[in-house]
Amino acid sequence: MGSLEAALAAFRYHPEEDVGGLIELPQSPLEPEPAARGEDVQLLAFALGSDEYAVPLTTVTEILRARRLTEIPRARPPLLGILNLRGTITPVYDPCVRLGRPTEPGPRAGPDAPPAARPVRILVLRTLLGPAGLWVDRVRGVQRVRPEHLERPPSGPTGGVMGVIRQGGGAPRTVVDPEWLLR
Amino acid sequence: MSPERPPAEFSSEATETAEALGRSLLLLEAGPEDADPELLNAVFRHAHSLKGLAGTFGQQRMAELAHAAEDLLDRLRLGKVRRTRTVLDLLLESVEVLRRLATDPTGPAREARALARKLSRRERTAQRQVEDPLDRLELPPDMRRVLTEFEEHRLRETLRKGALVWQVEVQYPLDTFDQELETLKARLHGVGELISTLPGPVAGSIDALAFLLLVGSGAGEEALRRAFAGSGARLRALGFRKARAEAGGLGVIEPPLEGGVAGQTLRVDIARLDGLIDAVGELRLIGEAIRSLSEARELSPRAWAAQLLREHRQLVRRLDILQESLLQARMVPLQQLFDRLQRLVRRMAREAGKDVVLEARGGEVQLDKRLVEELSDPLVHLVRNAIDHGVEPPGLREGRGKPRAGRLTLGAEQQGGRVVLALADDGGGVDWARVREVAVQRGLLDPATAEAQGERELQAILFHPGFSTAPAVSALSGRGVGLDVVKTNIAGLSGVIDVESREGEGTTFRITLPVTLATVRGLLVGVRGRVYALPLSSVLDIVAVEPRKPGHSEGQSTVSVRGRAVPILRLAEVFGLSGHPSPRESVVVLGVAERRLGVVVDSLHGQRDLVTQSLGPRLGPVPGISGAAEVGQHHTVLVLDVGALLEEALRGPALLPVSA
Amino acid sequence: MAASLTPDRPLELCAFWVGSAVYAIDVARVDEVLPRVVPLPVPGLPEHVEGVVHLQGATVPIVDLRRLLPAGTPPRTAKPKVVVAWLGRRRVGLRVDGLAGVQQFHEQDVAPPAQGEPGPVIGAVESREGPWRLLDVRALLRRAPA
Repeated sequence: MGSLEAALAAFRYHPEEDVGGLIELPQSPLEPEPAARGEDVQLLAFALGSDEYAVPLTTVTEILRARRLTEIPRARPPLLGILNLRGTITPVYDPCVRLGRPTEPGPRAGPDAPPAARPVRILVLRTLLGPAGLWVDRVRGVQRVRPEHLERPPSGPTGGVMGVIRQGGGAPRTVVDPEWLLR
Repeated sequence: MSPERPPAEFSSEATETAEALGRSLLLLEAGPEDADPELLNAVFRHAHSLKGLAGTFGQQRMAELAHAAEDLLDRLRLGKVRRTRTVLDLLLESVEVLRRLATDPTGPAREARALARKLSRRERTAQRQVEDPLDRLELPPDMRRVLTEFEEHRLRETLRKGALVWQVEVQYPLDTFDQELETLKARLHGVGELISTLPGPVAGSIDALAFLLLVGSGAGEEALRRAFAGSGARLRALGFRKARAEAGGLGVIEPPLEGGVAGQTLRVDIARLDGLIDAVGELRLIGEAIRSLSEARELSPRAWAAQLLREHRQLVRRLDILQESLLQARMVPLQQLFDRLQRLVRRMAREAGKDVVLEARGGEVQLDKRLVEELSDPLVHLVRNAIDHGVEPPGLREGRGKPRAGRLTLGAEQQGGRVVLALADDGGGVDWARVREVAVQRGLLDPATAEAQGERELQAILFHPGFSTAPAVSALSGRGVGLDVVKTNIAGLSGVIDVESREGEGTTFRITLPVTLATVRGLLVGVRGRVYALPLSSVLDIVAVEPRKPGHSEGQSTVSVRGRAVPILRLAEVFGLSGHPSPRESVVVLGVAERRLGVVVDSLHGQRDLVTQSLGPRLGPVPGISGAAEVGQHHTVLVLDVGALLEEALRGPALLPVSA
Repeated sequence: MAASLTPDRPLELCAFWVGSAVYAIDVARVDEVLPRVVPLPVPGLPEHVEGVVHLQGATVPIVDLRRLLPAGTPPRTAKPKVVVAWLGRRRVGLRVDGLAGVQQFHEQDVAPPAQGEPGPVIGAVESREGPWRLLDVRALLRRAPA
């Protein structure tokens, strides 16, 4: 068999072709490799009520002060309203709904919306479907964490929760996957 | 390492057909110059069958050669090529090679390829008899691209009359350029014709605009210079390119159609430009006011601050208007693209030896310039497809009782936050049986279930990469890219494409695009403290409602407008808006086709030109809302979807409320 | 004449720009082409893997081919895309600088690779627009730094 021939045969696609060892993916994107390469994970930490959360820093494109949202009629939670960010319409959501925690009743858009509390911020996140905003009560800041300090859920990934960080004696911080949060 | 022999039945049939072709060619040669049309048709048919036969049995080289011969013969019988000695010799030589290929597919491989090339070159140089004089004019391709069909026509007329086309570079002051252009036209009367006004190559100064004019004139340089006397214009007559030698290149230079870097200029309506210049003028006035404020010593600090604030508000308002106008200037009507396609259709039809006419509608729909550019490639490809494969050759069409000329219809329609573009041909329709066949051949369909696949599944296959029903790659179908690339391009604009086909009647491709930028003249209305916009084109009437009397029933469901009962819809109720109704409500009567709907609103806030944006892919369709627009700083209003509201009034809420 | 047992066998290629060169893969590998994608970064993946995206429930890694093949400037008309390709029974997203087209060839059209071509390039064909280098994606990934 000529070498070109063999090469062409390998070049063509067969569903049964050998792909062993090509890309070892972690079990799921929510499960970082156990033997992680010692690279710190960068997070954007925020608070919802008295609970602490974080999202991967790379997904955050902007942090805005709370501003008046435009109401979408007949919208249901978790959609709070929309923002016009330099020409792009960006929907803003209430993360509490997806996380199953209590949230403020009442509109946050439209003329009946009360003015937001001073620490409230809108995190603009980048997702597969474009930008989306998260209404959070307070932003704590950027946190660097060593991968071994991220405790993964014992029974595997549980709905969007990438892990929990218990450090420095403070409240535990839940790290969530924005794609899941904004699905 | 012997190559596969083709099946016996192929060899015998192919040989027979090739011999029949040879015999009829000899008859043609022996006959008069003015050949019997029946004989010509017979020759063409033989070549055509041979091509089909070769294609079916996967005999690539034979199919290629037969295809080239068929094309040349088609042009021969349509009178587009003269029956010369050379043409006949080439054809007879091809028949020889085809005969040999019938039994020995790889034998005369090189000759077959060379012959095929010679045949197609022959066919192309023969084409130059119907050359477009405009192609030889030294017109830069990107200038050619922006010309309208009328301008091209005027240029052709100029050349036909033996006159010259002059390129004039001139600058006119901002304030008076429109008058200057009018004066120029008057001065040119009798001397020449101002055919085209284009942006100048070098940017003008702060106070002047640079133009590049195309002027047709047979009066000679002296007379023309006199017409431009005193304007500082630079004149240059456009020359002609030498005719290309018969070295086998294309005689026609086709300007590239992609947008890309070359297409960075924009043609803007003069009226729009005027509007922009006015806006800048007003900004200057505010600048003046602020300057004199700085010198006003008699005002108290408080009065001074108040005055400054007032000017600031004015400034912001003017800047908003300017920004909006500039955004709108980026909007170009689809007509530009349609015009380009018109020219392409003529050329492609000529090359394909078919008669095709393109009808376009909806050219006034405006889209962001970039979107229009991105649509160019996929539309060109679809048009090519329709001409190459959709529309049948004129002879076949007549045989089917259709008019000789194939008809392509291109239509654009704006529906709320979407634009739908449809390209329909009245050709033979998609051959679904053949699609099935090829799909099975290429392993895209399981032969066991192939029959069961309906049109929807087969549609998906049509757009699959690597699918093509052409047995041999057509010289005319361009770079061998398929419908899959069209689909990808459209997907890149967040759009979708689908196809509908009726056997024997034609095929329609439909592209639906969400439009992120579109202008709408809107009526702003207030409902319970919220402001919405209604497209003014759908507003028929505005009627005041009787002030509420205490105890007045809320149940009123129609209102009488000019003697006609119009059903009404209370937006506050439909949208579930809290708050109190205003004592002075209005009913905005909307109309779409025959249907009417009155929408009850609390207040009216005037008309604005709005640049609307789509709500984005996340939210999906929001019932009753077609998009959003910005009015003033940080104030976004929703644009109402009239059609949806009409439906809702008739049937009740159609979709579930929006959440995410 | 290339040494192939089946010279006439059709070979349909999908080609794309990586830098200033055009590479091609078997069109049967191509599942879809995405216009823009923002992968979710996952710690512990090699350099050339930008992250993953979820497509129809499956996790698809995105490989930046520009890190694995010689660089250069792509043509200005090219638009970056992600070609989702099948490797065995999994899909991988290949980030490229732009699509160059789909064209059918035959095995005999394949010329052996020139001297100095990187290993995973197994040959080249002459397309209407210029040379396309046949890329064995599996071989490319096998050699990539872990």
